[in-house]
Amino acid sequence: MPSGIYERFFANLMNKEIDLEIDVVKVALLNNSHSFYGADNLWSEVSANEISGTGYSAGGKTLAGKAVTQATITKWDGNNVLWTSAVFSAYHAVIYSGTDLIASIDFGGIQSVADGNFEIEWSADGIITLTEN
Amino acid sequence: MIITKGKKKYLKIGERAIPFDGYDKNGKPVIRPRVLRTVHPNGRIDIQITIPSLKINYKKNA
Repeated sequence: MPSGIYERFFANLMNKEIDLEIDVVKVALLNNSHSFYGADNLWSEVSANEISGTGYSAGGKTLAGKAVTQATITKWDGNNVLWTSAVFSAYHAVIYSGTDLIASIDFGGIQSVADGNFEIEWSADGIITLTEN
Repeated sequence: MIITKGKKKYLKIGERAIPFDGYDKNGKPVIRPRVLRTVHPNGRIDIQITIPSLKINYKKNA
């Protein structure tokens, strides 16, 4: 599965271990050695595949503007994430909070930026939605 | 719910109709990130990736 939500996140929600509006959430970029395994729990299990490059700092960017909207389709959203004056390549983004993984996103191939902006724009529907099937 | 207009398929979520790219091995619709790559005359390259929402689905009991 190319993208998905880690099992640990579901458990953390049910155990009140994470507050998606208050807790620090980070978005990191990873290389093509990374694969999404839902049973991975910790950032330290995947961080060896984090990218490096100009304009990128280890650990990734802090997600700002986090908000949960309760509705028929409940959603968690945040501000877009932007790296500027960047020179690097990435295949995946991983979202995590503290030590624990939240989600992994596959970009569908290598994405290379050259002295420019690398921006992750979240869907208008939110980063994660909870909806009736 | 899946709706079809012409040859395109859309996943209807609430009031929104989201185009999707096909089905995974479990028969679920796959919506891939959209990448906008802008190459400037000076060689600078910008990347903007629009990420589809990750969905947690539930089914109400009758």
